[in-house]
Amino acid sequence: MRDPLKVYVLGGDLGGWALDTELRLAKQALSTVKGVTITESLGEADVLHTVWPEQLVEKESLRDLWRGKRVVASFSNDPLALFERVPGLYEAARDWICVGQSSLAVSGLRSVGIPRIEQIAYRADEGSFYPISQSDSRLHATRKKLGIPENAYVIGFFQRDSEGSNLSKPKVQKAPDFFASIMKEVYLSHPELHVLLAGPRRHWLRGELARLGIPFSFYGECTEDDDYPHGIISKEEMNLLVNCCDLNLVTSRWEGAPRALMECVAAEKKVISTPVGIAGDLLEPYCLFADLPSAVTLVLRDIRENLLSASIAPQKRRLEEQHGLSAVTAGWQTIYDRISPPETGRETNQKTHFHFVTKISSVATRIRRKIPLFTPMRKVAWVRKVHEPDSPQAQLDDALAQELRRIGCLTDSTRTADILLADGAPELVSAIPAGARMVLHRWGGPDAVTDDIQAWNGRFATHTLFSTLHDWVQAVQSGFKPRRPRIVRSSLFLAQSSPVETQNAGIIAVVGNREIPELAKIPRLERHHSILREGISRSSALLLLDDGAEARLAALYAAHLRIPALYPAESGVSEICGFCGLSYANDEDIPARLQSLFSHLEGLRLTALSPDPAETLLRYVTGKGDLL
Amino acid sequence: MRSLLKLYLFLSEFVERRFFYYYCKLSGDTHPKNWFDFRHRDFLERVSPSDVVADLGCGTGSLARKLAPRVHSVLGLDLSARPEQRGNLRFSQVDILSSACFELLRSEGVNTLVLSHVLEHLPDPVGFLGRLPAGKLLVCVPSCENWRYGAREKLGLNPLTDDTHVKEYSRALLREEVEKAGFNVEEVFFNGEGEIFLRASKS
Repeated sequence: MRDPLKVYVLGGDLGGWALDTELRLAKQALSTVKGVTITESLGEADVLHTVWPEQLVEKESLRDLWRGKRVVASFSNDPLALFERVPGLYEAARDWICVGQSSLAVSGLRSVGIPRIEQIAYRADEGSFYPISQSDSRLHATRKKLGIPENAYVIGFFQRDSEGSNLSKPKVQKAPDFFASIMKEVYLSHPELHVLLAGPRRHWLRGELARLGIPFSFYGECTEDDDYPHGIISKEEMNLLVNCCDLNLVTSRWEGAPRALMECVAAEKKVISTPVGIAGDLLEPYCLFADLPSAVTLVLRDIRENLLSASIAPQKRRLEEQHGLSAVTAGWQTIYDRISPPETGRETNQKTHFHFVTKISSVATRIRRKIPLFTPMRKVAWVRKVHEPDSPQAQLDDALAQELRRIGCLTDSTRTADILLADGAPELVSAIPAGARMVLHRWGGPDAVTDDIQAWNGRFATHTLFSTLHDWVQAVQSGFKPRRPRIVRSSLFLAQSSPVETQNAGIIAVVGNREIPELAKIPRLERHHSILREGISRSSALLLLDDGAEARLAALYAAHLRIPALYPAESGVSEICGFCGLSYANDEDIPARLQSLFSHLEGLRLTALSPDPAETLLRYVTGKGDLL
Repeated sequence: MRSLLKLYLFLSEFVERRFFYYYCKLSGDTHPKNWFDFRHRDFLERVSPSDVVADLGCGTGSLARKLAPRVHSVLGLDLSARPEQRGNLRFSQVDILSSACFELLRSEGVNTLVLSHVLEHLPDPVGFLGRLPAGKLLVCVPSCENWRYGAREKLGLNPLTDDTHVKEYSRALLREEVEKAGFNVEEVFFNGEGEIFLRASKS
């Protein structure tokens, strides 16, 4: 019989968001695992169990605490999205036992080469959400109080929809813009529609629905100011609202769960979702939608044919089987059985040493960062490929050079620079001196990765920079070993060049050289960036035939000009176009998908999301803390 | 003895570089190599009164000033240039790799491009040359075809004469890169300072 493992559980944000629920449920589940005791003392813990892995990397005070300890990291958000947004998390996760809470999360972790991966489903918050009979007077009273018409088809959207830093901006992750576009199209076909919103930071969607003239009710007090945290409503009220709805929608761009899915399923209400987080594991396949037309079709079919009612029972069964306490505890038991007990002899010394070193280094780091003398600006030399003047790549590079120069860190000498920013082009390999201390390798795409570049990246690069997650995954799949991978998305700096007038005349711009018989009569746009840009601006829609550099530029132009695109699925361009377009799996699908695209143009335009150039620059210049 | 040679080459290079750096800084004078026309003569002899010249990476502008009386106009472009206009000579502060620079060359109708000690600083010289407008191209770069470069390289020392150089050229390499960028090379030779001079054109 081994000594029990002492586990310190952390990760709640004390903000009343889903993380606190995760923490509470994780503690409950772990307390029933044999051979594990939950400790409140971080110092004596053998294992750190976190439901908020990014906190261990982001918070300076925590950064050193987990080093030398075993970490079980349970990802409460999409791991790939977190790896993109939190520098250092990927490198840290390679040393941890990473727990994906859905098949999607596990495949994401696997796709970027995380070595120790386990899958344990989210635990449902049993008891908080349950079905309420439609004849219950509380439901009638609530609907009446909210002014919901008797015959209305009520759609609930209970995700936070506004950015905390700017309440007039939609929260990108939750995609309320996509929700609004779906509502707009459904409303046109079915005016007896009513949207129900609740919770704090719902400002953007309230404004957008009002602008589009879609009837909605908000449960709570409508304020112009930030209503967090006083706008948080109790689980009991939330359950009542979920039960008031005919259908609940999740439109997120990425997610860990979200818990709203489990809550709706537990309340035996209909719910449809984008294929994020646990949606693929929990919901019936026909309850998933990836684009505007399929979402609108699903909602309208449910209104007319009650299509989704058949999904309620199997989903509830799945929730009980996969997300119940016993299933989740069994999973944790397996993982903790595999974790070897601590070596008793070494333990005390390690802990004393751990505390002493942590304290000293933490204080020293804080002092050093306060004194500019000890943190001089690091010099960056750029081994730069010269792009076609005025093209988006050239504009991005010019703006980046200007910014690096403005903050005074750009130098001409590749030999004396602290950091080398190197474009991944075969012709530039010879320009990179051996012995450079920190080399940021801008991955040039699959075409630019030759044996030379692979060898060079492995030997000299300290960071590999990708412009899409797709590129990163593709690179790993093809055997390329990125070093401290980072995503720096491309964006347009159109302000620097002449403006383009859009003249959408119901025509389509086609980019790519593949021959498709059905499209033989439509001329392809030439590769030159100005022709691309002008051609796209004069079109109503864009068809991308491949995922090459021109296609990506065209996708950026289209996103900027809010022009919907038809693009190949599972590609880098799909990350640029997102919901402002439709994907196709093979060439035979193109004609039908084009038709669908043209019949939803206005709705698709509402979801255009152009990457913010300031954000791109910020990623380079500060790397959110770790590049320069 | 090899170690001694290595030490000598290292020290001679180091001392010379440091000496002229501080000499120029303290005296406010230019490097003595700029007192004479050995480096500029070949440029001056190859321009004509109708040429609209751009001196890319003009630095302090000493060559641009000498070119001005012999040509229609001179545009000096450099990130460190102080913007000014005097007669047919104009300086503009611009990054020569930026779109703004290429746009300027187009809009000014430049037909003669002067690149004096520029290419050796660029990681992607072929890409840069390929973006330049058509016209006459006059290039001067440091040579690696000399015993000092060869010996330093052989002895494992950094053979480059300046930390900001990405590489130094042989005549064959320079010709190859210029041709790759779409120019027709008309002549390549060593100038009075032992540097490589090249004349080319693109129509």
